[in-house]
Amino acid sequence: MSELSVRTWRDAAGEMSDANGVERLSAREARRPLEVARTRLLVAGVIFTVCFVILGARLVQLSLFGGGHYAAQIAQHEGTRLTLQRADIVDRNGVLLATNLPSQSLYVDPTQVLDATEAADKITSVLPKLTRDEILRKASAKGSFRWIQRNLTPEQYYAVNRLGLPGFGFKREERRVYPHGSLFVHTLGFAGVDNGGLAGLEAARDAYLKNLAENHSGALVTSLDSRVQHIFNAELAAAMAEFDAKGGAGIVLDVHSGEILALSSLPDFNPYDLKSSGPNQRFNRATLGVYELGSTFKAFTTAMALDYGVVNLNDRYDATKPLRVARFMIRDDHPQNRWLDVPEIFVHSSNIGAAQMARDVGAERQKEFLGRLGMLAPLPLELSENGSPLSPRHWREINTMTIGYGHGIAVTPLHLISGFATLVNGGITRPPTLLRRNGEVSGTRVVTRETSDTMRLLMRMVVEDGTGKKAEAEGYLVGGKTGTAEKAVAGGYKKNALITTFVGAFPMDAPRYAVLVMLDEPHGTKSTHGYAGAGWNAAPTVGRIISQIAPMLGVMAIRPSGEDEEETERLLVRADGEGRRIASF
Amino acid sequence: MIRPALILWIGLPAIVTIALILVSYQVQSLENELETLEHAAIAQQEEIHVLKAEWSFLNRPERLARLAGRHLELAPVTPAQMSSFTLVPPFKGLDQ
Repeated sequence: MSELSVRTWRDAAGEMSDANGVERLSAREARRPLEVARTRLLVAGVIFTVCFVILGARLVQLSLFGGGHYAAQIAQHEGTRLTLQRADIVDRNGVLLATNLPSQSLYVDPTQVLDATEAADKITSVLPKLTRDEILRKASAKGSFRWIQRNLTPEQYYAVNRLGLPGFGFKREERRVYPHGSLFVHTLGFAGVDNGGLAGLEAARDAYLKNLAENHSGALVTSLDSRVQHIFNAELAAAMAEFDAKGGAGIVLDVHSGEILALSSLPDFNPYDLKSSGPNQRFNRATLGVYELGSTFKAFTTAMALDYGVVNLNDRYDATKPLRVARFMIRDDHPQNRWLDVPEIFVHSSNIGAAQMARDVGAERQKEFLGRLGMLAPLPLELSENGSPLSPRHWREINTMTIGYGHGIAVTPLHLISGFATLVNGGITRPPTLLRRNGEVSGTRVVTRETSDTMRLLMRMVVEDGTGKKAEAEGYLVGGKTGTAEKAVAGGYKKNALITTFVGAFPMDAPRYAVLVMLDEPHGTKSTHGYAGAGWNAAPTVGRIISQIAPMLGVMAIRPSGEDEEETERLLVRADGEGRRIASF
Repeated sequence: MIRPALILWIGLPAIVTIALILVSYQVQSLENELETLEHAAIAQQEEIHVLKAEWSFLNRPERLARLAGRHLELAPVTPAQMSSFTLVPPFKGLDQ
């Protein structure tokens, strides 16, 4: 073809010159356009060849050598995965505490409804909780969408679907499910019908839970233990029933990591049936409620006085008669009417002694100490229900003295147990948490190890032969402190309305867990001879709880056998020159 | 006369076209299969998810305690029943 066109072109050129009658072109000049054409052809050919070679090479690369990132894309294809709107919440052992389950919700498109009355009759026959008028109103409303009922059960879905009503449809939704019902309701909280967290951990970690679900990154691991929580709730409920108490709260805390293993606040409520619960059920007594927790604060006063070196264990205070300060009178609940040394003040829970000890330490140092212990500020807990302690604005001497035995300052039970954990774990405070912690957690030192060791002995003594005898759980060396306080009401204190608390830890030779039980307005019974103090109700509850949870938590019991006697002897501490033992493990 | 080159240039595209069609049908059917499998996988995952929730529901400590009380003759562990491997005396061999 190229030969042909070149010839034509040459002929045309020859004819052209002939026709004009001009001199004939020289052979060389006649060949020039031919050469230009040939060069152009060559260039075009080369360009095409190069292009095809590139394409060919690419084809070979793609088909024979895997094709770079396409192959990677194919290899990475993991298939689709179930995506839910909220991530699961599990306990420390992986037990499911909250999850999202698919469900069907019934809606109506009023523009498609043929016979609203018939539809309303039929639907009320399978969903008896709905009223006929309501369905009728929705089915004949303006617009094209009204919810009839969210989150049907599978049986309800089947029944409604079988009616085959035009205009009624189902939308796939997700429903937050708590397999344990109300067991964790005060820690987990609950999520609303649109899967937004409304209370507790669900609200405080709302965005995080949604994010986890979106990225398929597993579940939110809490520090809770469902077995411990169950025992705690059951025992607390039993104690509330036995002593006719209005409410109760309790916490189990790992003293070394600050992890909360169980947190109860009773009465509680059903997360599926919010309408039937009142503010009393919804109120989290363990983390939101602030109470004057009474004598339990004497542990802080004693630790503070020992740590500042204001007293030593042999110092004595005059508790022969009630102490008059300004217009107040400080009395003892268990009057000994004699001079008491520091361990005796703690064990017999002497207000007079603790008040004088606090006075000797002084307001400034007391405020500073309680601040370091975290008693004056809200805790950084992962809940929206986080109470702020109440403390006096002007910290006068009388405040110092009453705070010395736990009056005039109100904290949450969580503050109290967190402070006790600090006193027994060697003196290091770590913020309590509801989330599983991995590895060692750094904390800040509040008291010296020596003070912490002494406090352990004193707390053990309270259970050994003080006000907390009934908290004993055989073999587990429980130690702690009781607190019985009259409830503060506007303008004073309410007689016979008590808040009783026992807070302790076990095993006292090397504490691992702290336990707190608080009862709101317990009453005396026949078996307590009418007494309603903490030693009669909160303390035995703690004892029962510890004897059940300790084996689960892997705490070894100490058997009172001959072999252990030597060990026991070593742990004895002599308190004073009279050879009286202040602790007998 | 049909030159062999022409046969080659007509035949080659024809073969390639047919092969392409076959491969594309194969891809389509594989894609359908993949989609079915993925649907099935999702359904299975959902089922597992529901079963996990049910497992947790049936394993509520409160229910287990109730069932154990009704059907088993077991009592809660007492401290005396707890021991640890370190307290077990070492095995001294059969010949002693």
